[in-house]
Amino acid sequence: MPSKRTISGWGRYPVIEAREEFPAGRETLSPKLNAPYLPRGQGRSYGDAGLPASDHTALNTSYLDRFISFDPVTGILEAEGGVTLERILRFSLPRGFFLPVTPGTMFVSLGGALASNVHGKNHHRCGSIEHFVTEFEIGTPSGTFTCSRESNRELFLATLGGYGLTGTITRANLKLKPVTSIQVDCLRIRAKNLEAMFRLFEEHDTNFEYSVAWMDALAKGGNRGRGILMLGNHSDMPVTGNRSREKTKLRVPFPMPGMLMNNASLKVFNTAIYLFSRHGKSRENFESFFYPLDRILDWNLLYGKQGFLQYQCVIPDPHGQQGIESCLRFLSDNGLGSFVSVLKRCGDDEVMLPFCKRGYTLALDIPFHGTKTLRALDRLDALVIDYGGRVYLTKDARLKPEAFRAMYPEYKTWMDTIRHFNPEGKISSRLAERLKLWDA
Amino acid sequence: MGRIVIFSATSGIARAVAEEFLAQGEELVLTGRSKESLDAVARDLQVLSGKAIPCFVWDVLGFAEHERLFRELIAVHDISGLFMAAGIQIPQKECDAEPAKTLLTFNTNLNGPVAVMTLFAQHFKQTNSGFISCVSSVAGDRGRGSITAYASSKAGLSAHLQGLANRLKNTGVLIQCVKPGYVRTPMTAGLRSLLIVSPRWAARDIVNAIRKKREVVYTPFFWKYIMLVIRAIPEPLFRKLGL
Ligand SMILES: Cc1cc2nc3c(=O)[nH]c(=O)nc-3n(C[C@H](O)[C@H](O)[C@H](O)COP(=O)(O)OP(=O)(O)OC[C@H]3O[C@@H](n4cnc5c(N)ncnc54)[C@H](O)[C@@H]3O)c2cc1C
Ligand SMILES: NC(=O)c1ccc[n+]([C@@H]2O[C@H](COP(=O)([O-])OP(=O)(O)OC[C@H]3O[C@@H](n4cnc5c(N)ncnc54)[C@H](OP(=O)(O)O)[C@@H]3O)[C@@H](O)[C@H]2O)c1
Repeated sequence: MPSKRTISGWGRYPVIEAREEFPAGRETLSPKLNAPYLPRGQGRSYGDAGLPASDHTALNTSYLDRFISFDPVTGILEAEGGVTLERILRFSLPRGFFLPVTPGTMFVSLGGALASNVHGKNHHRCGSIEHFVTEFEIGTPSGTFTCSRESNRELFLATLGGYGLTGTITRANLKLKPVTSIQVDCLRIRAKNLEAMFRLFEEHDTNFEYSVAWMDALAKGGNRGRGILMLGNHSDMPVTGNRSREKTKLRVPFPMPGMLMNNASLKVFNTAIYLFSRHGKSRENFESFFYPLDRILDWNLLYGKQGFLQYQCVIPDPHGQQGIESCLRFLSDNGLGSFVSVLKRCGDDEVMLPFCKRGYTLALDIPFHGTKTLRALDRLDALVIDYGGRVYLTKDARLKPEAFRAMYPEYKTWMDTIRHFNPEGKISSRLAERLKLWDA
Repeated sequence: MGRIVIFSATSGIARAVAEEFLAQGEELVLTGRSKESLDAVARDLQVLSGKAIPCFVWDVLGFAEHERLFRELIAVHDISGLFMAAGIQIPQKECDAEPAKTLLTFNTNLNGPVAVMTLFAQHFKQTNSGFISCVSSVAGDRGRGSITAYASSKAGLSAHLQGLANRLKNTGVLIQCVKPGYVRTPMTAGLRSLLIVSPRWAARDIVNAIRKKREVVYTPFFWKYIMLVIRAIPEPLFRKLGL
């Protein structure tokens, strides 16, 4: 049995001591599923969704990473649950296929992407990854099941966006999307304030498959919500011969001094980006469009030892715009800085515990300054709840159980299904403990 | 053009090497001790390359079977090279508690691979062509207190390969000793080090070095210099470092 070690999510808060096992291949998995555990992928969820509950072992899927089949006609790729999106792209791009939905980093596992039902810059067009999963196999404490929309539907819908609590996705079929190029035709437009930003979204994002806005969350008054809207469509210049060249990556070697991320430096950074970043039309490599942060490995260490909190909420229509404005006002009134703030329009998710609702979603990276930060975010939760919004659990490390229940009225049905397959909480996470899911 | 046979194709490093070979248009035969794992890896490589890849279940500890399996293999396939990745690393504490584990380490890392490679070396010598690339380790460059069994098995392996290279020096056969530092594979699962690299990195170095006919390969390259220093540290000081 391996000894305990420290592990954390991408935000490096909280950090816990736990055992971690690394089974090599699907065929070696079953004996490991007997002890209390939690499946864990690449640890790119920010908070504690990927951290095992006390006395549970993390079952790391890094070596469950094999392809099983690929059909170039339908674009359906069958792979083990731990294969990374990076590996999928390395395989699929030269063959003219891209991920149907992708988060802002390719260093996540397929199983992790399904367990968070990830959304991408095309959510307003085609929803979350749930729509492209044709089938998966899952090992639960009550047995192994093959799930799809047609068979074992409940388990299918409770597992997608189910944060690992139903079991381990051992293999999945993902329908990739044909593209002719690895490049993206982009349009970047500067918005001088939030009102202008919303207008730009409404004007443009129907013509573009991908849209997302980067915002200066520290700007106040008439500048509040200023930022840059980034729009993109897959270019139709052929891919042939482009085995995209790998760029050398930078790595942050160790946690930077906490001082680095103070409100003054955040302000300078955000203002500089607003003023100096490119705008207008361009043609970009998919990596710089979809995965700008992946250029710097371990960038989370920039936030220092104390880590940071990611706060992503969605505010549904018809109050989306108003709600986002209130959130931004709240941030500046409370002196909460955010290094990178992202705004995006989204549609409705259809899984059992959906995060995305038709409206706007705002994601913030907030340096962690202890209880002060935590208390402020509790108040932000209250505001989000007033607007009928919710917080994304895969990014969360601090939401209170009551707030969770207010945000996610669907949780009861979801928990009923989880209990059906995982009756004794043999699979459990710190997230589940913190939100008191087992008491629900 | 013959096929390259990969020993312990289920290994993290070997899978990456196989991918690299396939990308260069080489044909392969895979071996491994578990049929299930081997089949899964073969399928993965088949998805990548679009070609079915023959597999042989082959345990390097099956000393009585080596000759038979070798004959079966060369009867069906023309083999032009061998890549050997079999190896285990058992915590030294366990080896101390159970001498059988030290033996198992030696048998898996040294005796088994040597038995297999001997058969192929003779075969390649007769045809005056081919290569053997075998994964040893930087750990074999100096006796180590923290991983005594593993390091000494690899030291034996490195010495064997060096000897073999000397013996076959006037033939067209390449004998290559690969000395990786830290590579992210199941063997090093969970290890946190700034020096750790992806199996793909190691695989590229290895395949390049085969093309360039290099007999000793450190991967990544900087381990050559690290080991130069480590070997130069006087024993009393080395002991204090407790490596
Ligand atoms: C830079 C960055 C950008 C991001 N951008 C986006 C974005 O645009 N949209 C978005 O939706 N998300 C985004 N995310 C979040 C990320 O996509 C999710 O947190 C994803 O789940 C991480 O996958 P992972 O493999 O790292 O899983 P982990 O973090 O290890 O685990 C996440 C959850 O998945 C479960 N899990 C993991 N593997 C399995 C399995 N095989 N079977 C069952 N359950 C499993 C775990 O139990 C846990 O609950 C981003 C994250 C980062 C770091
Ligand atoms: N990773 C590193 O940092 C590192 C550094 C220096 C040297 N190395 C060496 O690199 C080689 C490959 O290791 P890896 O890092 O890729 O780790 P790995 O994935 O654990 O590979 C070890 C391989 O050895 C196989 N094996 C074990 N016993 C065997 C037996 N009796 N018969 C046949 N095969 C057997 C395993 O087969 P199963 O899959 O069936 O278990 C597995 O394929 C090893 O020799 C290792 O010592 C690795």
